[in-house]
Amino acid sequence: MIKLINTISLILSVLFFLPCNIPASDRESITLQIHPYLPASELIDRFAPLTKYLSEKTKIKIICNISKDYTEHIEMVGQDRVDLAYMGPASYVLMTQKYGPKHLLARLEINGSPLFQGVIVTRNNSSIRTLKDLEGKSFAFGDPKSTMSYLVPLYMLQEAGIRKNILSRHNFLSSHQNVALGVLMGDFDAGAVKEEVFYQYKERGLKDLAWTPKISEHVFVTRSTLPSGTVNSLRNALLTLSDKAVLSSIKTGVTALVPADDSDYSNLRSIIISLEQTE
Amino acid sequence: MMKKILHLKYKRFILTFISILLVFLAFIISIIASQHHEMLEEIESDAQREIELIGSFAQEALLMNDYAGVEQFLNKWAREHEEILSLTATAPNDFILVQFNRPKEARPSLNLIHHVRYGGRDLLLLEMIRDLSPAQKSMIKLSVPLILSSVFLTIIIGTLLWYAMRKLALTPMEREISIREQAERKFRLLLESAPDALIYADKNGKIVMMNAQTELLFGYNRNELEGKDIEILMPARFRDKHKEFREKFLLGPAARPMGLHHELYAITKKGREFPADISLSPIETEEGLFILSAVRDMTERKLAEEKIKRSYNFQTAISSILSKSLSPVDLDTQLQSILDTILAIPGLSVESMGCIYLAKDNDSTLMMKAQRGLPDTIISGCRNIPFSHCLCGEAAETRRIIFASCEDSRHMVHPDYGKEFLHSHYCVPIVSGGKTLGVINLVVKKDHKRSTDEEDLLTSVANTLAGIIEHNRTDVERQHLQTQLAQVEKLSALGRFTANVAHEIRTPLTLIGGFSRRLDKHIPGGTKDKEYSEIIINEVNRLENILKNVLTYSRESSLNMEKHNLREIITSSLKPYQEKYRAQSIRADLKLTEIPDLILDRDQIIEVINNILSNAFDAMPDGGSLTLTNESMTVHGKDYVIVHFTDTGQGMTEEQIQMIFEPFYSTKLIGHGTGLGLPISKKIMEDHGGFITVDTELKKGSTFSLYFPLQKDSNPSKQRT
Repeated sequence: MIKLINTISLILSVLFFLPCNIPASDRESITLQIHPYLPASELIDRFAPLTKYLSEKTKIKIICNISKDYTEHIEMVGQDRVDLAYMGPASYVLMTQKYGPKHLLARLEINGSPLFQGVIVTRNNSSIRTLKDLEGKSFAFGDPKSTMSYLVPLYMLQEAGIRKNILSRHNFLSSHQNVALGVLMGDFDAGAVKEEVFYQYKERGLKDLAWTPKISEHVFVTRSTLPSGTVNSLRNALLTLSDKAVLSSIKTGVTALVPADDSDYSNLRSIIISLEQTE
Repeated sequence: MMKKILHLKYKRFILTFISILLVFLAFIISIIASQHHEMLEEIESDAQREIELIGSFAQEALLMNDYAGVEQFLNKWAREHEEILSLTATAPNDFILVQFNRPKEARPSLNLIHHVRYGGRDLLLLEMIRDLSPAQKSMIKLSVPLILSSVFLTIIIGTLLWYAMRKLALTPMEREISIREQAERKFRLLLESAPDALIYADKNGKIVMMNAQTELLFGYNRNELEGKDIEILMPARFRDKHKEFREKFLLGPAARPMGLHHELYAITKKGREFPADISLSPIETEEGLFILSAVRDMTERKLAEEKIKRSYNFQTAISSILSKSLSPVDLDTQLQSILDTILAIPGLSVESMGCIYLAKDNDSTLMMKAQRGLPDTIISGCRNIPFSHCLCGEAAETRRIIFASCEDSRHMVHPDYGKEFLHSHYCVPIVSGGKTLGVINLVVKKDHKRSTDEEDLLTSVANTLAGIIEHNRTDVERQHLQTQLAQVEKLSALGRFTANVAHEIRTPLTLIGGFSRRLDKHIPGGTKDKEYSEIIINEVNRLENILKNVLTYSRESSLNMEKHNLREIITSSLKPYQEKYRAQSIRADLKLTEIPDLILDRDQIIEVINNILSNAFDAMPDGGSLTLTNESMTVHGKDYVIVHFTDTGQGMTEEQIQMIFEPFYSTKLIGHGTGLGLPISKKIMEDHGGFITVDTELKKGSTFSLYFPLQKDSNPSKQRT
């Protein structure tokens, strides 16, 4: 009997010392969804510092996921299946066109500018000099939903009178790096990459054929249903991020995360609408 | 201890044993090396599979245009695999997709290349360099203990085998070898102590062993002979035959002398051939049949035998010569017979050729008295040889035996002996009492070897011959002296008688002559009486002349010796004859050179000259020539002035020559000579210390030579003879 009383006393005393007031935010976790503009492993590596930063800053556990493709990404973000998302400008425009507005948190500022460009590239030793020379040539695109590896360059080609059907062939190679390497390896005569990738491969023999108009940078959005406290907390965390290591890890040259507005993407939206009308 | 054994006893055996162990060790090491090699091949194969696997992945990714994925994968793969030193992926357009280099130097390395293709299209070229050093190190780690254990095992096995072998085989073998060595030492001792050259050869005729005597006899050292054919020790002409004999000997080997009834010869290293006595002894051993040959040099014995034989032959010859000397025949016949005996001496002459010369009295000339087998050219060409002339003359002059070939430069007469008849000469002087009596000339073989021994024997023959000649000459001399004595006695009686008769006749003859000349004056010329009267006067004159000659020859006369010019005497003596000679078509040719003044009796010499001139006139009834020459010559150490009167008249026979100096011998018609001219001339010349010689040839003419002694600075004097 005494033994039983002692045992019960011990259990009670242990239960007494267990924490009984755990904050709700500590218990939650939110997902950070990244569109697959780079190989998934690289993206995980690149966003690991930011994920860590946001978790620490917001006290919310952030889980980083990579979407299978741009379409899935748009769907997931549009359908509010993810809490936080990093989106390319075109994906954002397409997503808002289909699913309506989301909370814009911040956009990238690269070397002091929140705008970026894409480049239509070819090889250094190529005989192609202008966009018009691309007639009958092969062309590499990134993803059909990619801003700088498809939509804007396609718009530029059309503007130059080069429609897809007068190309000898064109392929979607998923990533900007694949486009750059596909051109360098001679599998494609030209391709479209974003500025960052162009500079990455320029030394290895890549040549710029034409530059796209400047488009507002990548943007962080949240689902429309996310509590405003969390939205603000996240926005605040992003806008106050000053750790260069975390910033440059996202992308080389990122100097800060700056406020974003839907109107920042109007020019892109016009291009996309133009393309849709053309098709 | 082991080292000592190694060096002294079983050197070859141990070396073989060690060699086998080393081969065993090498075999094990080669197996390890082979394993090593197989492992390396396996590694290479794995590496090839790896690059193919990488290629397979790259192919798939490239087909999906996942270039970045390929680049990332390859870089990651290379980075994470330490053994990859370098990895390069090159696109068909030479674009280098991946270039990974690990900053590390490693050798050995493995280069791998793989072409990534799809549907016949090159997609990518993969080049990889793999570091093999870790694999090598691990293999060495594995091999070293294996090799060390193999070495250790080899040493253990070797040592065990060595001790087992030593106990079971080497020690008994050592004992056996020791016994054999002792036996061999004894055999060698026996071999070396033998007085003969002993040669131990196998059944194939290869020289196996020999003693020091063999080295001494043949002049070879052991190393030069061991392993050589036994035929090296015999003259080349016997070698082939000897091989046949050797094979026959092996059919029935037995101890026996070699070459029965044959002269055996051996040859030294320097090529000296020598007669040999050889005995053979077959020796049966475990290693087969061997033949021990004992060789003895028979040169000395052969020489001794030859010497005895030659001595015997010469003694026999001398005995025969002495026996022949007793035969009652003249010297020439005896000499011919003796020459035949000399030529019959075995081994001396060639085809019985030779001759004997005798020296002429008072004349240094050799005259051939006997010959055998000589060609006619020699007989005529060498009939008379002056001393010092040619080889025979040299032998006569020097009184030494001359041995020379027919081609010797001293041979002044080289008559033809026939084609290619090469020979040598022995010219043996026949000497007695320091005077050369003659010379024996023998023709011997070209390669005949002169020897002191033979020359001694020839000298003995010559001495024997000298004795015979002296004996003969003494006999002749004695006979001649007896004849001369009889002659002297006869002449003495005749002289006395003639002197008396002459004395008795001279007075009435003088009266007859005186009165006849007186009466002749009163007889008128042209009458018969006048003719008769003149005949009487002439005959009386002739009688007076004869009487004068007889008195001159038979009586002692005194010489009125004074210094005169002989040339003037001869010239003046010739003058009265010139008319006479011309009438008979005789040409007098005076070729006298300057003659020193001589001491002589002018009248007497004029008489001598007159006699010779008169005889020359008579000797050339059909004309001819008389040549007068002079010369100076030393004969037997005495200087003479010689005047030669050479006519081309009838000449004389040998018999006439023998008689011309005899008194009252005349070839002239009776009434035309007294037969006292030449005897008187000879007497006059001898009274002057000179002499007269005649050399004649029938039908060709005669030469009278007057020898006047050359007296230097002597005062003229009267002397009686």
